[in-house]
Amino acid sequence: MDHKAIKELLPLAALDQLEPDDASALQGHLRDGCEECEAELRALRETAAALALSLDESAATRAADFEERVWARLRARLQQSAPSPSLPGTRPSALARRHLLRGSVGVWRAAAALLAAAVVVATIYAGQLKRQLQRARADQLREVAAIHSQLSDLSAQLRRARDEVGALQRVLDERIRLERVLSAPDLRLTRLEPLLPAAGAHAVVAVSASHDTAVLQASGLPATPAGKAYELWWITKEHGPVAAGLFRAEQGQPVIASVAVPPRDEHVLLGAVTLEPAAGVSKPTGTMYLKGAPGPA
Amino acid sequence: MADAKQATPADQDLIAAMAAGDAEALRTLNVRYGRALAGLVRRFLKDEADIEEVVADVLWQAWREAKSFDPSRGSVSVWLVTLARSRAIDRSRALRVRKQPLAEQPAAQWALDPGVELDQAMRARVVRAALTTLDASERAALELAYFSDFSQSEIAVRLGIPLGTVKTRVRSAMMKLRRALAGSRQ
Ligand SMILES: [Zn+2]
Repeated sequence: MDHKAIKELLPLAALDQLEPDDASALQGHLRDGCEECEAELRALRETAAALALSLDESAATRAADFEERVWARLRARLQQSAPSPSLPGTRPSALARRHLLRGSVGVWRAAAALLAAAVVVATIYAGQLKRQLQRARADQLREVAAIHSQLSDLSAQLRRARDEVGALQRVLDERIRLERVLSAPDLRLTRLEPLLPAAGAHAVVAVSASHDTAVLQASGLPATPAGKAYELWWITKEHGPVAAGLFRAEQGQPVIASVAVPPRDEHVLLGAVTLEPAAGVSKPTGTMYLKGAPGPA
Repeated sequence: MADAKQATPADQDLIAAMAAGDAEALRTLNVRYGRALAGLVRRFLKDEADIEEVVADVLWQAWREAKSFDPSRGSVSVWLVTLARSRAIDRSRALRVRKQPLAEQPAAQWALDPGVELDQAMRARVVRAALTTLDASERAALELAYFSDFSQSEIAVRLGIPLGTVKTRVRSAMMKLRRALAGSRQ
């Protein structure tokens, strides 16, 4: 088969729908080093994957805890596959068993002598017991002190956990808002592309006028310096830059933040993000990090 | 698509972390792809426990084979989708529930998943928009080709059209989608 005929096969190959003969012809062609077909097949596979990952059934059939259930299965497998710690031998060796048996022979012969010594031993033992009790008490006191300090550690941890839950709740609220905007029929997306100081960063602002809600998602922005905040602007034809909200970024963490919807009945030319004093400003003064025009409604 | 440039490195970083034994990366991969993969697997299987198991199998295979993942051969999504589709087909064959009458196949819905990241939601949007560029006949052929366990000849019988026509329709559907998705790239 020549290059042209092979190229015809690529869309079906990307869907794993080739007959065996065609599949081996394609493999041969790729082995011969046709870079055009290889690149085309790769692109078509990406197309097929995008299609497959965008397929979805109605929300009603999907369990809310799907991820957790899959994770529970994966965790079980991780635990099973982890190398199990080798247990030190719990059974005495044959040699040790023989030794124990020999030790028991002759116990009776020594019994009388032992009995005589018993009183002495008991006296000594009583003294030892007293010292042991004193030691045990000191140990207990130390343990109590240790437990006290663990308890205060725990309550500090609990406070931190409570703070984290609060933070997570806020993130969740933003997520819920984002999901609402994303499913709004009048969803409009503004992609903000990076300018020089933030190469690699990007952001999308999802706006639903009917929900009066706008949510920004950003990633790759440098961590917000102390005393500063990122500020979103809607730049309209009528009024120039209009402040639309402040947010902070942490290194390597995506940002989701509620922002203001663009002014009604104004023509938005651009969205932009600048770095400003933490309290925000009414007109941009700082370096611009991201900028982009609104997408089609 | 538009977000491929940003999404790909992060996916690859996850796989690299998994190769180094970082279970948290596997967990993140599950959050990122689990539901979307389930959407695909659900086209082949009905039982939710089977679907969960297949998605877990796919992610588990990714975990074990993370070291040998070669990004030059394709993206992480292509890898996962390929694994998911073939495992779903294997499982459905094993369960002998394949080949339901066409009428019982629920129509595919191309819907926004509120649980996925914004980038994924945007990709879904772009794909949905791209799908509107297909004729109904192209779309039917494409769906049967990719989201069922039918061969091209079986699809021809199902749709009552010649085999050559099935191939032409699937081919032109794929090329239209490819163009539409490439067109959304900025
Ligand atoms: Zn070629």
